[in-house]
Amino acid sequence: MTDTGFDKEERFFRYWLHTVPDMTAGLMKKLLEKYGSARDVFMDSGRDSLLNEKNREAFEAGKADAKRILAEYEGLGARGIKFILAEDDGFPRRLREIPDSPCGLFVKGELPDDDAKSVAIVGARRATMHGKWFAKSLASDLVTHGIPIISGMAEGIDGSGHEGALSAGGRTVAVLGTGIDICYPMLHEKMYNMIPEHGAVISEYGPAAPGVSYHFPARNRIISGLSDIVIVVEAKERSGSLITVVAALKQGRDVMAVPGRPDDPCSRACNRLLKEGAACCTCAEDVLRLLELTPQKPIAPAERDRPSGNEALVLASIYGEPRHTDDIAKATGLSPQEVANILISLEIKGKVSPITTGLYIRK
Amino acid sequence: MYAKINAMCIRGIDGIPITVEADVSNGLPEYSMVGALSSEVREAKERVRTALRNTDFVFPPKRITVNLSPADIHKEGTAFDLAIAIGIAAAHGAVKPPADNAVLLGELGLDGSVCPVSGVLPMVLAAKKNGFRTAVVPFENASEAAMVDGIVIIPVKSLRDAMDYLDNPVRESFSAPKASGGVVYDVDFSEINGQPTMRRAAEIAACGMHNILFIGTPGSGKTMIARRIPTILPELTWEEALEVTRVYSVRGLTSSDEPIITARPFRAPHHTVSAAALIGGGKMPRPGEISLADRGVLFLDELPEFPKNVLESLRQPLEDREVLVARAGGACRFPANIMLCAAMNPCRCGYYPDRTKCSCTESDVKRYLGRISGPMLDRIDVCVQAPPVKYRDLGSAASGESSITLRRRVEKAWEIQRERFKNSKNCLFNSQMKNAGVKKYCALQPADGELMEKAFDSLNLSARAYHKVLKVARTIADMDGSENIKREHLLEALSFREKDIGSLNS
Repeated sequence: MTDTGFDKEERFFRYWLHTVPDMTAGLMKKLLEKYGSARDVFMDSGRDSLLNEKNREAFEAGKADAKRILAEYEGLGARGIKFILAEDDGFPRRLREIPDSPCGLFVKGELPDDDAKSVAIVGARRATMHGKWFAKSLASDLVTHGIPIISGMAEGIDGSGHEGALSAGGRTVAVLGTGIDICYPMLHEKMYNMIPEHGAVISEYGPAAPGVSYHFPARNRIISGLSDIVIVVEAKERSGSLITVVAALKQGRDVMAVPGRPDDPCSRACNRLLKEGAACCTCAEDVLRLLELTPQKPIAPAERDRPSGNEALVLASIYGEPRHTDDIAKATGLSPQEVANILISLEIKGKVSPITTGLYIRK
Repeated sequence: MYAKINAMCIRGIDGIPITVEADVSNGLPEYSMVGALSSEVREAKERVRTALRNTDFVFPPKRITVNLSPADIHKEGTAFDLAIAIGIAAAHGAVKPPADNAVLLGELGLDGSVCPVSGVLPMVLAAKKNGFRTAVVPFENASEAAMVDGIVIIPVKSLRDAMDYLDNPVRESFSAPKASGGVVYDVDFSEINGQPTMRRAAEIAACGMHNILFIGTPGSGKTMIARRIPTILPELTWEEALEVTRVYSVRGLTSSDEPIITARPFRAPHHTVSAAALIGGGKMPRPGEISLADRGVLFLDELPEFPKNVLESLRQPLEDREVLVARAGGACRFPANIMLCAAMNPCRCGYYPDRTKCSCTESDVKRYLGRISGPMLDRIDVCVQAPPVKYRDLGSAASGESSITLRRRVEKAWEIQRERFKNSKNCLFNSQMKNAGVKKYCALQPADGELMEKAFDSLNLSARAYHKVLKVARTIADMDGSENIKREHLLEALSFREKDIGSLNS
C-alpha cells in the first residue's frame, strides 16, 4: 500500500470516517480541517456544530461499533479491496484536482495510469438497442487505441461502454454509487466480477454501504473527474447523464455528445448539448482528434466475409432500431421468406442478431 | 306391480346404461327413491309427481319405490325424469311399458313438458353400443341424437307425447335435415392487412399442427390472427365432429340451433382460469377448456399472466393429446387434440424494445419473459414476432389471401402427412413426430447438415430446439410439395425458432 505520512492508526480512523452513514466528502474535509486528524474527529466530534442530529447519531453508533469496523478494515486486503486516501501516491492525480474531490477511494483491481488519456461513456439507462450498440462499438474502438473507458456500470449505455471495452480486451473503470462490494444492478454481476481483472471497480463508499439515491449523482463527479472527455451517447430531456456533464464542465473536462435524429426523444439532451456547443461525436476518430491522438488505420474486414448481393441489401437496411422481417422486406422489395432466410444466414455469420424472434439488429 | 325402464347417465364423456325400476304396491302411502342419487336426481321425485299429475294421471296413494340400478354408480343429471315418470305410470298400469331395447332420456317440467338435457349424443352413442334400438329423447335434442346411425330416435315434447308413443310404438325415426354446404366462419384471413410474416407463421403452424407463440406489442394483431387459424384448418371429418360434439354435449353447449359442432373450435379462456377449468375436473370429472378446443385451437392470450400451475398442467395433455382426470368419483379420459396458440407482450408495458414508449428496465423485461417455463416453451414449435403496426399500413387496401385459399394449401399439406404417417400409430402430423420420426423423415443434404451444425453453435440451439426446427422445416417442405428438406426450408424454419430469451443483453 502506498503510505504517505499517515500511521496505521490514522488510516483506520480515516476508514472509520468513511463508514459513517450519510458522510459526504465535503463534511469529511471540514471535520479533518477543524480537528487535524481523523483520530481527533473520532475522539471529540460527538457534539460538533458541523454535525446535524442524524450525523451525531451515526457517529455514536459508529463509535460503539468501532471494534467490528476495525476487524472489517483489517479484512479488506483479503477481499481484494484497497483503500486509498487522497494523500496517497496511488490516488488518481486528476481526481485530486477537482472541486469536492473524494477523501478516499475503495478500489478493486488496478487503476489506469495517471498519464493515460481516458474517456467516459455515459448515457441513458433505458437506452435504445442502437444506442447500446453504438456505445459498445465506440468503446471497443477507443480501447484499441489504449484509451481506458470510465463509466458507472449502470444498465443501458454505461454497461455497454464497459462491455465494449472488455470485449476488445481493453481497460475500463467502473465507478459505483453503492458500497465497493455491492453489485448494482444485479444484471451486471458478470461484468462486476470481470472488470477488476481489466481495470478497476472503484467507489467512494465502503463495504456494504447501500445505494442511497444521492450517491449516484455524487459518483458522477468521479466519472468525469477521472476522464479527459465525457461522451454522452443517448440521453432523454432530463437525464441523469446531464449531472455528469455539469460536473465535467466544472472540472474543465471536454464534453462530447452523439447526435440523434432531431425529433428523437431518446437523444433530445444530446442534441441540445450539441446546440449549446458540445463537440460532436460520430466515431472514435472524432474522439481521438479531440485528444490530439492519431487514429490507427482501421482494419478492413476480410474480403470473403463481406456480404454481397441480397445479403448486402438486407444488411444495409438494418440500421439503428431493431427491424422486423416485414419492414426489411418492404424496404428491399424481397419477399418476407427470402428476407427471413438471408437474415438467418447473416445471423450464422455473426453479422446480425435477433433481440427476439424476427426483430434484428446489427452486431 | 313392477316396471323396468332403460335410461342413461354420463360419466366423463361416455354414457353408461342405467335401469330405472319402479314398484307400486299396497301399503301405507309412501314415495321413495334409492340408488346413489345426487341431489338433482333426488329432486326428480317432486318434478315427476307434479308432471304426472298435470298429465291427467292420478298419482296413486300407494307405496311407490323407485330404484336406479346399478345402485353403486353415483348418478347425476336430470335425464332420468322421463324414465322415472314412465316407470311409475307403467308400474301402475296406466301405460304400456316400453320395449326392452328402448332408452328414455329427458328432464320434466312441472307442466309435463320434456326439457332438453346435456350429454344426449354420448348417451345415445352408448345406447347403440349397448344394443338398444330406440331412444326417446327431448325434442330439442333430436338433431343431436340423430347424428348416431342405426338407432331409432323418437323426439317427444311432453310426457303426454311419450305416453302416446308407448301406446302406439310404431313410428319412423327422426332424421335431421342434412347440413347444407361447408362451414361458414364469421371471420376471415382476408381481413388482415399486411403482416406477411405472421400470416406465414400461422399457415405453417396450421399445416403441421405446430403449437405457435405470437409476441408483439398491444394491438399488433396477435389475437386477430389467432382467431382466424381455425378457419384455415381443413373441415372436421364426421368422426371428428362426433368427437367434438360429444364434449360440447356433455358440457351442455349444444343447442337446437347448433346441435352438431361442425366448425373447428376456438377457445380463448381468460388468464384467470383455474387448472381444473382448463384441464377438466370436478368430483365427477367434466371436460375442461382444452377438451372443448379438441380438434381446434386453444388460444392463451397474455401467456405470462396465466398462473404457473395452470400452464404446467398443460404440459402432459399437450404431449399425450388427451387428458386423464382422476378424482375420487372416478377417472375419465378426455380428448385434447389441440393446436396451442399463445400470445404475449414483449414486456410488462408491452412496447419493448421501443424506448420512446417502453419504460421497463432490462431486468424487468427478462423477468417478464422468464415467467414462461422452459418445458412450456419446449412445446411451442413456431414463434413469431408481430411488427408494430404503423398508421400507413392500416390504410393500405392490400388485403391478404382469404381463408379458403389458405385452407386449400393446408389440406394439401395434411394429405402429404396422412400418407406419410398412415402406418404410424399416435402420430398424425409433423409436430407429433418423436425423435425416430425426425431421423427418418427429416434427413438433410450433407451441405445443409453442415449448415445446421454451424447454426447449432452460432445460434446457440438446444437439442430440443434442433428437433423443433427440423420438424418445422419438414412442414415447410411439405407445403412446398418437396420430397426433401431443402436449404430454404431449413433457413425459414430457423427464423421461427424462439430466441433464447435469457440472452437479451448480448
